[in-house]
Amino acid sequence: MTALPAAAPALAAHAAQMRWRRGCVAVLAGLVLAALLASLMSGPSPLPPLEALRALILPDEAERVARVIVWTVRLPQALTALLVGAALALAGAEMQTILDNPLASPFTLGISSAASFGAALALILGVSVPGLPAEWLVPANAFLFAALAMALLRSVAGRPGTGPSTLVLLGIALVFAFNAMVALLQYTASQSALQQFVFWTMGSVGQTGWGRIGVLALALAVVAPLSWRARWMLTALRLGEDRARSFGIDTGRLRTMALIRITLLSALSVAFVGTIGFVGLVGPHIARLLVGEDHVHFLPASALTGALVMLLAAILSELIVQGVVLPIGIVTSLVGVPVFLALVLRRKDGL
Amino acid sequence: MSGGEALRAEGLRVRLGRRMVIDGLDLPEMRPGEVTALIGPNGAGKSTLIRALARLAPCEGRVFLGDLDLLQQSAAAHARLTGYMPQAVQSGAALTVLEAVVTALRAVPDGDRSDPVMRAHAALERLGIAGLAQSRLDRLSGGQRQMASLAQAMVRGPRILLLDEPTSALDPGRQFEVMQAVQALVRESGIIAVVVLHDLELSLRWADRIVLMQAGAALASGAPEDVVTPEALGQAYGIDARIERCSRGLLHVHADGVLARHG
Repeated sequence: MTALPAAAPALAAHAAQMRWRRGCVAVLAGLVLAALLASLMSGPSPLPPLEALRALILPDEAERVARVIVWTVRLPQALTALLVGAALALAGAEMQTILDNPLASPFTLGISSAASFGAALALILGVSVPGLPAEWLVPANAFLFAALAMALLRSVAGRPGTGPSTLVLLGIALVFAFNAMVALLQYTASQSALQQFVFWTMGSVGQTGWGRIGVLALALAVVAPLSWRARWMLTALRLGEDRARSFGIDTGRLRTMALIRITLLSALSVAFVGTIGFVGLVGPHIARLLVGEDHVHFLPASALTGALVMLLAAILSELIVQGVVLPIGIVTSLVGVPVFLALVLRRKDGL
Repeated sequence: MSGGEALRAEGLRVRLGRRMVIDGLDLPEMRPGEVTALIGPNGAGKSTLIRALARLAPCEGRVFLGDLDLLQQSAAAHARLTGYMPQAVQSGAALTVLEAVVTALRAVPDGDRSDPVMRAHAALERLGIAGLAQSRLDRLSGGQRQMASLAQAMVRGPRILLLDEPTSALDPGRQFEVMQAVQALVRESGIIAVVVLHDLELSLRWADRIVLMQAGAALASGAPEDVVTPEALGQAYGIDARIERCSRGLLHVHADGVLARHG
């Protein structure tokens, strides 16, 4: 900027603020990379950093064991954690904005409950999409039901005069409805099917593979640019519904498009790794504290924070109990709850 | 910039649910550089009317700016011509005042290629609130919040400003500041301002024209002294009112009692 900085201290302060935010996003990106490397190193047989790096970058020169550990176990799991964390947090950020509710997450609206019901159908009753390979049956079902729940929400959101509170209430109704149906299935389930289902709900990145990673990466590659394009309209929505509409924004359409993006990201995430809580809630919260709600920085910071939290949870899940990999869903909740409570208790104004 | 194209409305009808809130309302010509106040009792349809003009409420009829029918314009074109300031709502957004005004510029591009941050800052300077640029929206006082809100409404250089109770919940000093800023802006830039005001004294002090509304229709409209009469006030508000002209030529309303309601 060539304007006179002395004449406009506000402009200088604004520029400094922008630099701080870009710095935050850059540091988060660096931390994500560091956590990715750390997750390649840690596990039942730890690898020193250089060893892990060599196995990653120059697999032909690395020891066979290190190569196998990195490429067939740790990298797929780490990438899954990274992508799921980013997807859930990005979905959570958009959802908190369009619902004007800092407590919204893919869980609030019943999307995960619907996905659980889909998974339960596949695991307990063996009902799924015909013609799919066995390892895709559970994710396909979970995705279908999550998408169905979202379609229901979308059809209501599209009606004129429907505000965020109607959506939240409908979401709560969906949570109860799907939870009841899941309970019904569990009640009738066999011992082994029940065990499988309970494990699925705990969330795990252990069942991953390159196919799933590809699907997640593709979904993010399609959705993230669309969220980015809507960044100013989403920020305007934070100024109030009427205000945004007076700027010429079709807020109904904005909500609908955001809901479609949220559905795709959260349904895929839940379908592949189970019901992992709090990343979609905590990621945007931390991002908001760091960079504010200007979505230019809020969206990338949310996605990066989500990825970081999931990677750290993945590392922790192997460290808490020696020799046992805890389900990552349990760890994210155990880590997420204290962070979340600290954030909520810090707030001075109610919700 | 006086002269220019006037704003007028014909046969406005707004239905909210099953209720016809505004039924066949006409608004006389409102000229650039003038402040028109919408006054009337609770439920008269003042806010609904301003929301209809801002195209936030579905509306039938015609609203002309010169020869242009505003209701037939695209949402983007309408948004370029008008600036709307909602009734005071506390925004919990983690945004600074400057960011909010920049967002108003960037939300829907208007083809102006100049730096939005500089434009937003210039708008704040124009309103004399450049000192608030880096303050968080959710930490402003009532009067500051209204000024920040006005900045978001005017930054795109609209030809029409639609303000819904810009002075509600403010103390007299802050009311004066906000209305003074609105008037200065309107006079200097030749903007047509339509302002919902609850306070009769304020409308007498600041408005060039007054539209007195009752039950979704315009009971009277014109110059303040022609509209604000004991008879009209009695009919609209059911009060027994006296009107006095004080030393500086300003009109004052004294409500001495409530009239008995007949059916």
